[in-house]
Amino acid sequence: MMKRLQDKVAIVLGAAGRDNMGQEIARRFAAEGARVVVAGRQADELARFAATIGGCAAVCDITRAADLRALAVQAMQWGGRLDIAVNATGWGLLKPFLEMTEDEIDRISALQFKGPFMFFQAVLAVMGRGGSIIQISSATATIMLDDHAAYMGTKAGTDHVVRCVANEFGGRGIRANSISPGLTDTPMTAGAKTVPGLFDCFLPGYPLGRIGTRADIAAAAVWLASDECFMTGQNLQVNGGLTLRRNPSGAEMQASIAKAAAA
Amino acid sequence: MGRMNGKVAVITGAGTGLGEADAIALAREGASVVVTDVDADAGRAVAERIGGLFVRHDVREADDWRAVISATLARFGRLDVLVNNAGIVFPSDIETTTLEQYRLVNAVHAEGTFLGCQFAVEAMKESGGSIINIASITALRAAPQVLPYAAAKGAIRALSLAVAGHCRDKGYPIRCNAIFPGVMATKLVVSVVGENYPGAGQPDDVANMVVFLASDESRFINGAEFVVDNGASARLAA
Repeated sequence: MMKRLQDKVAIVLGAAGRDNMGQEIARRFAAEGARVVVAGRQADELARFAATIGGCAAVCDITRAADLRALAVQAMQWGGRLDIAVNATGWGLLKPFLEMTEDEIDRISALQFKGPFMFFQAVLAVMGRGGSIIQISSATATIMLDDHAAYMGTKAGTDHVVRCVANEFGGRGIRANSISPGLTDTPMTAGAKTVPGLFDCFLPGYPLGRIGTRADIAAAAVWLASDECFMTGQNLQVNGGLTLRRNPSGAEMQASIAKAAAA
Repeated sequence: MGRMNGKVAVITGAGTGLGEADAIALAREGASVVVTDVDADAGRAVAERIGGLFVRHDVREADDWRAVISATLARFGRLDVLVNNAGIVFPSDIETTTLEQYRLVNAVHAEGTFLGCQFAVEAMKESGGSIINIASITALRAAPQVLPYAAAKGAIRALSLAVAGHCRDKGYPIRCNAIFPGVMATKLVVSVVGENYPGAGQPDDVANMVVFLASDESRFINGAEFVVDNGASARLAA
């Protein structure tokens, strides 16, 4: 039986962190028959990981336009085509609104708005007719989380750019969608997971009763990447229903942590 | 005594395929070699193997070219040879090619080679040197299945002639020649024509021509065109 992404060539940017969401997506793409270029900032980890999936490693900083253009060319050089482009980068900065410095606002804008914009430009310049662009967004682009404004605002802004891409490039058969995970068990949230009581207080927000896994996100990405998908310009909520409810407030988190510490 | 002793050569796209073979052959003949590529892992591996310098390089970017030339002069003190080899190819014809794809392929080949010639002429107009541009027989014979590539290679052909003529007119001791390889058994080409293409050449077949054009043996050859395809394009029909 034909695999779901047979012979497609994909870029997954944000795959340089061991066992992060990008690596899980790349692993699933490869298992479905795609040839995958894994990109990010850590050359050693990329080379190690690429070898495990028969992929190609490409060092790329999403804040540098020249890196992004070189990444797209490298994918075409290595794979001879480009069908799928995933941006799975992010910086989960948590900081009170009034304490955000100008440098931090610049940095997160470069990583989470300007960078993805330039990534879309770079991959659209090499894609032919047909293709799928997938932006990893966040449930917090829709629902609130305290002390997370710059992250949420830039993710939401990029989702709107995704809609623009879908609108403008649909004529070339190119689809563009976002995936919005909620709290997900990844290296980015590993620090938070070690705080007793912190993850627990998120659970009431999940109708399906658990937080997400990398596999949940990768499964959605495979569908968006495959020819089975007729959806474009959407923000797929892959978060167990979290966006139907809400995240805990900062005060609720503090209370839950205090309760766990007392127990 | 190597044929390239004391000379410094920059080869673009030298992480794999023809460029890799050029780098190895030039180093074997005694040249100091600068390997450039967009693929840092591949480029670094080749540079390590031949004791050369690697510089990450997207040939479309003038800033990258500036960095390559500066690094070369800083490390080796001179530049004698530039091989404009970096390329990109994918199957696409006149009906399927998008404007963006057409521009991309031209940016890598035509603009990249233009920038390389411009920077090399500036660096070598006093000291002299050899510019070798890798074109393709697709610039000489119809290649409808790789239309953007063929068109961009055609631009490289005319560019090479004009650069050679300019250097002659100005009295610069720089030669500029073009090589037109046929189908070669490289990863890039195999991605388009598949494995076991009948009559495919080996990367060394082109590298041997590169060494000749890079060395002083070819000192009276400028603005010339060299087909390296074992007669494939000369024959009436396949």
